[in-house]
Amino acid sequence: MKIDDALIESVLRLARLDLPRGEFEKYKAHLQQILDYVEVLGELDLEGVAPMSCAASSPAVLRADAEAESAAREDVLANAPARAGAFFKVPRILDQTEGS
Amino acid sequence: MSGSLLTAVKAAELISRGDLKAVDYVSGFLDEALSRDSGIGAFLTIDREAALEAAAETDRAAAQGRARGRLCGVPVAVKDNICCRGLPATCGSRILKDFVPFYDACAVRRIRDEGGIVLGKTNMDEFAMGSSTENSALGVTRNPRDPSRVPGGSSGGSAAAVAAGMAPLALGSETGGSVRQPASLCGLVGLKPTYGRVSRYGLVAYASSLDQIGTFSACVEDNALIAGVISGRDPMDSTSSPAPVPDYMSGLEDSVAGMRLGIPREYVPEGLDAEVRRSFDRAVEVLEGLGAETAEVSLPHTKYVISAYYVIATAEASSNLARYDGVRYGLRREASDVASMLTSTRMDGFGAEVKRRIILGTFVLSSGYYDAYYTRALKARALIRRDFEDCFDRDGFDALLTPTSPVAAFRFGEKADDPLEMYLCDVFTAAVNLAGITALSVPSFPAGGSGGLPLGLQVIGGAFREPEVLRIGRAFEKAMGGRA
Repeated sequence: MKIDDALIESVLRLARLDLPRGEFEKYKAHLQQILDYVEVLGELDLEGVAPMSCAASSPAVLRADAEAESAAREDVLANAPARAGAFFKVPRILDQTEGS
Repeated sequence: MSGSLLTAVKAAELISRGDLKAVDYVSGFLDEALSRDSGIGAFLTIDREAALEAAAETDRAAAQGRARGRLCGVPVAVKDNICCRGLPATCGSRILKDFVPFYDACAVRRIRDEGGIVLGKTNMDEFAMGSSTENSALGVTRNPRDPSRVPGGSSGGSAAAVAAGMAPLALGSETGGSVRQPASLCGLVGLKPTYGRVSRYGLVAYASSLDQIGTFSACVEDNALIAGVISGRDPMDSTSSPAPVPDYMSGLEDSVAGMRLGIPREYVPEGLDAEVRRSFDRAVEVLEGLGAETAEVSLPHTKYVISAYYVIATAEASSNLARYDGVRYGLRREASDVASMLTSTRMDGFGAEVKRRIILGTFVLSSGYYDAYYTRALKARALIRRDFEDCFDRDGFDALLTPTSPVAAFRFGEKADDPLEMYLCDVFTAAVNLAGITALSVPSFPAGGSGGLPLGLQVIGGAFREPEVLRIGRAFEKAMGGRA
């Protein structure tokens, strides 16, 4: 399939990414090259084949739902780029009118 | 003294008896790192003080006859996407440049529980995406065998540390070959364990259905030692297997006579590099000379491996790397609203290859393309796994033999501008990750004869067949004149 600018722009929005100025065309060409390469999957007859999403040979085993010690709050917050007391701090999410 | 003349197995034994000082053994590697690493660039962090303190504590314990552990006093270098309490875990990325985890990965805790000592953290392709370590945002790593060439990747720093004698053992991680390929390029033993054999707790996620921690060493016996230590069920990773871990050391010296080894014809294609082919053919003859029976086999879906691998790996990466949002840890670029903060943080924090893979992964998972790309790749993956099951379960082969890498160590920049060419470095290794099975790379005949660049022989086994692939690797190493 052919990639166009609109497709890349919509994927960038979904991925919360941006590309350095002037490099858009280079990324587009690389992506086109890779997508052309993976087209080979289209020639497989996959009728009746179940998708394999995990390589584990046994089913996942969950821990017992038991009370246990968890990480200390200060340890968790120590890497925060910005914090306010016991909270992670982020820019305002709702604007004044929405929030009120 | 030079610790690298001893196996880690022997060193641990001597240290626990008090016949070798852990401080001397560890200092030997630290001194080597001090004098050589400025020209190699294997380490991002060297934890000198803590390593020497742990060694001193080991010596005090040994003096009182209470030193123990299978890795007693043995230092280990750890790839920088595996968490060690209090040491940076950058993943080779600007976005995690200042991230310091407050806990140990399960594999690291198990190493410490057996008396092992963390020496430092090693360089890697950013988020383990690459095959040369050139994608690290934090520096260059050179191949100790030829500093004008790459060490392979993505675990290039760990491979270089062991190859340069700056560590006897190292942890790396595998998603599509990131331990076996650098082991091949640096002349080391590298093991990719069965999916679920080693807990992923504390391993920074790239593609969760493929990721597995692997091990580097100079000889097979040392690899069996550390791989045994880090394996086993962990309640913190629901995909870790409850199957008991066999003793990888026992049976290591057993004969391979009568073992049935398959040679997949798709892994020695027309156009394979002549040196790689010559090395591989001679390796097969060596194993035949030891009494192994070999036969040509077919893995008919090999031609779909790289396509399926890159669709699946990038899809999982786009999801896993969504967590780097500048909120809880890592880089943040301030902005007036959350959406701009997210976008500018990720734009500045991620390098080109990571962005490329996030974009591709987001695309193959997006509405309208999901079935055509992602579901299709997952179905191809089932067929790729079935190829291996046919060889092992239906046809009764004990293991398969292939070259590890289609090329020896290449020069810096040689593949850096062509992502697809770099992806093809994984052509002989990625199927093992897709199938979730195990494989070992062991040093084979070098390219261009003795003194040439290292090349690896890959021994692929079915799920949980680590004892067999290690035994075959050991027999081959011994026949090649390696450590008797």
